[in-house]
Order: sequence, then C-alpha cells, then structure tokens
Amino acid sequence: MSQHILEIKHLQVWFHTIDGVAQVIQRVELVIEPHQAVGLVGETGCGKSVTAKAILGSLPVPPAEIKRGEVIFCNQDLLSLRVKQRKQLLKQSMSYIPQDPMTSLNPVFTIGQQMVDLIKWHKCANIGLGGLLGLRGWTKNKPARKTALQLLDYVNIPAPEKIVDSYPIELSGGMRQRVLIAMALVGDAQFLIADEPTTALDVTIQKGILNLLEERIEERGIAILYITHNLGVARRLCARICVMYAGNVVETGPTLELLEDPAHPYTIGLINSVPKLTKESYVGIEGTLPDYLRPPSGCRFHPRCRYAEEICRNTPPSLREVGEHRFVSCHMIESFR
Amino acid sequence: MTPCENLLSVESLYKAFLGKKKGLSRARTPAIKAVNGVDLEVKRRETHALVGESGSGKTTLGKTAIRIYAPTGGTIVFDGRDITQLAGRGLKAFRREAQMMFQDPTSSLNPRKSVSATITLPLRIYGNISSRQRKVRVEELLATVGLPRPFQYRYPHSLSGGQKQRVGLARALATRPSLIVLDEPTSALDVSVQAKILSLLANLQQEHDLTYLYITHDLAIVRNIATTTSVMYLGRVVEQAETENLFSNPRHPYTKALLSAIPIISEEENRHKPAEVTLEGDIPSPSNMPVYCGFFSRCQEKMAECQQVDPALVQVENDHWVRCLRFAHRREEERMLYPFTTKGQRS
Repeated sequence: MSQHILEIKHLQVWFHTIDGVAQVIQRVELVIEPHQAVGLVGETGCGKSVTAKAILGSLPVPPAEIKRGEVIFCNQDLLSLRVKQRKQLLKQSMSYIPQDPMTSLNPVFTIGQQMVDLIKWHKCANIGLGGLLGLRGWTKNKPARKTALQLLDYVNIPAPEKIVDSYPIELSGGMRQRVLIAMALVGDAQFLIADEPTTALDVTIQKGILNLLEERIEERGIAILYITHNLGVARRLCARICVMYAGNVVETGPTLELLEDPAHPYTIGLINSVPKLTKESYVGIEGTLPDYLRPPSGCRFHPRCRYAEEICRNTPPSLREVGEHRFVSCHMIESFR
Repeated sequence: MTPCENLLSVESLYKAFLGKKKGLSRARTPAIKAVNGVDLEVKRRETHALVGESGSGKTTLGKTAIRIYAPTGGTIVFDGRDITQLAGRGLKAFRREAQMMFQDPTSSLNPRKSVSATITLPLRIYGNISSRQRKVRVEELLATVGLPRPFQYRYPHSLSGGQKQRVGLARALATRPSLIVLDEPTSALDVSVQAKILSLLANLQQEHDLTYLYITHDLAIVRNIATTTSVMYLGRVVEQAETENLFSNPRHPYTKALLSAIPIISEEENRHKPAEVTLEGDIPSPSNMPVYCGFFSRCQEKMAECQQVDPALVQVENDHWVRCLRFAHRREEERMLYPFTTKGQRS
C-alpha cells in the first residue's frame, strides 16, 4: 500500500446536464509509484482530463458528481478529506502543468509577477516576516525573484532576466509552456500531473521538454502522471502506460511490452492507426466514441470491436491480470491472443 | 524537363507582412518576412510535403503559392502559366484549379450554413450549373468523401472533427481542382480518425489525378504519403529531396534535428532515424532576420564562416538540394568536376 504515491480505485464520475446524465468516467483504476512516469493515453473525450481534475479536486460540482471511488494520495483518501485539508496536502506535494500555454497565464501580469506570487504563496524563498504574516507591504520580493530566475534558467529559457519582465503575449508557445513547467516546479512537489504539455509544440521543443521532465524524475525522484494522446511521447517518457477508452481504463502495463504486444482490441487499433517511419500500413478504427448520455451496455468498446460476442454486450468487463504487471479489461482476450 | 511536368513552380517567392503602425506617424514596426525567397517545384500527381516548425512560413507559402495572399516578390507558374499578376476574372478562373483544405475543422466551416450550403457555394460561384445539377453534385461529393447522404442537411455543430474535415475536403473538391493545398488536415484529429482521412486522401489522389501540397509538422505522415519533401526554416527552404532520400540521408543540420526528434512507438522505427541531435538556442525573429545563415544560433555543426555568409540552396545529389555552407564548400571543391548549380540566390 504505502509504496504507491497515488492509487485510484474504481473512480466513477457523472455529469448532470440538461439532456440527462452523462456517465463520463465509468471505471478508472490507476496506480502510480514514486520515481516513475505513468502515461495516461487515449483519444479526445475519453476522460483523461476529467480523471486529472478529479485527482486535483478541480471538477465543478455540480454539474460533476463523483459517484464512487477513492483517490488515495500519500495514504489519505483525497475525496473524503475536507476541502481545507485537501488543499493543504495538494499544495505541499502535488503540482499541475496545464494543457494550453496560450490561456493558462494571466495576460495582464508579467511572468515575474506571476511567479513571485506563486513562490510567496509556497513560502519557498526568504520572503521576510511580513510575507509569513501575510502583510503585503512588508514582503521581501527580491529573494522570490531570484528563485524565479533560477527556475526559468533550469527549464532552459535563454536570458531569463529578460523573460521575467515580459508579458505572456511577448513569448512564443514553447516559451510559455516552459514558464508553466517552471511554475509547476515551485514548491518541489513529489507528484506532477502534466496534461498534454507538449501537444501544441513542435517536435524539437517537445523533445527538450521531455528531456527536462526525465531529468527531474532522475534527480528528484518525482512521480508524473503524463496525459497525452501521442503514444510516441508516452513511450519516450513513461515507464508504464494506461490506455483509456470512453471513461474506462482498458489496458495497463509496462510501456515497451504494451506497445510491442498490445492485448486489448482498442489498444491494437490505436497502435495500428499511428503512421510509422517503417512505412507499415496504418488503418483507423471503425465507428466513433459512444454518446455518454446513452453509453452502450456491457463493454463500451463492443460496438466498434471485431471480437465482440454476446457477453460483451451484456456485462461490463473488469481489469484482469494477463501477465506480469499487465492488466486488460476484455472478456474475449483468450479467444484472440 | 518540359514546363508542364511541374504543375506548380515558384521562383524566389517573397511574402512580407507590414508591421504595425506606430502611433500617428507613418513609421511602422519592421515587416515580418514570412516567406523569404523560396523556390519550389511541385510535380503533377505528386504529394509534396512542406515541413517545419510553427512560424517557419509553411502556411504562408502554401497560401501565397495559390494566390490567397498576394506575393511581395517572385514568380508563380501554374500549369505553364504565370499567375503572379493575375487579377479579376483571370484570378477567379484560376481559383477553380487550386483549392485549399484548412487545419481547423471548426473555424473553417460557417456554423450557420448547412453542409450542402457549404459545399454548393463554390459551385454557385464557379460552375454555371442549375440548382438540380448542384443537388446531384453535392450528393456525389458527399459519397466521394464517404459521408452518408442525409448529412447534407446537418450543421457543423452536429458533426465530429473527422466529419467536418470530410466536409472541408468535399468543398475543396467541388470545383474539380488539379491542386489542393492541405494545411495540416489531420493535426486536430485523433489518430484513429486521421488514418481514415489519410487513406481517403490517397484514394482521391488516384481517382482524380490530384496534386497535393501537404503542409504538416508530423514527419511520420510525411514519410508515409509524400513523394517529395521540402523542409522550411525561417521562411526558407533549407533542404528539399525525395522523401526516401531525405529520411535515409538528411544533410542539413536542422533536418537531422527534426528527424531525430520524431516520437516513435516501436524499436524498428529507430533504424529510420538519424543519431540524436538536441537543439539549443533561440530562433531569430522573422522581423529581424540575421544577414547570415538563419539557423546559426541553433546549429550544432556551425563553423566560423557561417556568421558571415548567407548560404544558397545548392544541389548535392540528383534532386537533393541543401541550404548549408558545408555543402556549398564541398561543391566549390568539386566545381572542376561538375557544373556548379545554385538555386534561389538572394538578389
């Protein structure tokens, strides 16, 4: 138990909308160990970001409702903690890199002002007695600014003295993303949730950011939940991959094994859809994501699955162990493997 | 080489966007040179890929080449005709032959127009056909892009991303063009849908003898579908070659860095990648471009002279062009053996 940094047990999240109840997360099971990056992979609308927000407690309730489940972080169930306690716990040990570098920074403050505020909030620089007492006028800004400069330098931003006084609009997408990563590193959190931090970026810059995160895992031994739809990126950074489809974790396992020998029909389809450098043929997956207001009965993948049989239409499958550290949620797995 | 082998050829094309006005004076901030002297030849029925990072001028080049933007300088020859100065009726007639498919499926369709209205608009503008014929054509086009007939009555908000892109493609095909500029048609889509759209594009190319100018930053797609590839950096083509050749033997340091950064999902793919190169340093601003090689600030193989000379695009092999001083030098040594050819020398 205690060796896991985060464990999600049977998470179920519904959204109450005008048209009815959208059963967005049906069953998410996830385990993250320290010193490890876990990739949460899936297509648009499969519930990756909702899972992340459920962990962070930033889902709007209502319309969201967490029907059941446990999110155990540092041996405490986040969902049953009181708001104040949860905030305190998350502030100390969890941090988040948002998806969109264009809208996640405040456009009317300079990078430096935003970072200094955050550093003061985290109290991780010498901010003077006034700062500790929360007296605005008596706070020391200089040490916080110095910390900000160090962090910007750490994420390989050239000429941080210049960047720290510029507004977000003056920076390119790659720069802003690196600023957000620097901000996520304030407070030295042991656990980092990265929600598609490199999706909007070019491959050369993406590689730099992945190297940076990799370094952080090695140096500080942090754990990362890396949300992405790009299997190649997940392969580079993550020790384990969780594949999600329509609100369910359908397969999980060590990265290389999972990519070499996928077991769930959806994972197979996903891997076969990626254009590869070897010029292997690639085919998509027939059909579309189900409507969450009227999800299919049984296995949610059955309308698109080649191997679907009677049992798939009636009973939702649960995760079963099929190999060392490998779990698959599929009824028919024995018949086609 | 007969002039008609190339459907589109572009010679030292420039496109600059005027800077912002400074207050009440006439002064402006420096112009942004988005396309800075590009030579490009797109052969008939080929898929020519334009790759490069964001801000390298790929989209501007694509749009300028089919006269969506007016070029600042240079010539564009389409199907043997000079279209650089076309205006009015001539330009309208040309637009039938070169169409564009856009990157963002949502913002490229009018939310207040039904699918059939979107697809008939080009038919109304260019084809003098009756409304009954138009209806038939819309159904034909929907079938071509693999959408069921009742979709013509639907509106963009009720379509998925992949379906919207199919509508965008049907609209581009409506005037039976010979060239389609595809501006990252799949970057907003999921991989399972992307594969379907890519195979649709390949089938349509076969059936309708289409030529594609494919703008993308996804090199794995390029490797799979493109015949020729041009790599752009800071408004210039830095390397151009047949795709096979480019991947097996990249010459420009930027191309090497780009190829080595492709995220891959299997070990076999590693054999098709060059050794790891990591880029550091800053990209110069397109409004304040250095007079020397634009890649100097990030180059891993730079030499002292690189900061003095602006290299020209030189041919290093048959159909393989590179804009790098290292190869310009080598060519000069070989000058005695082969006739020296340069392309796109700055005037």
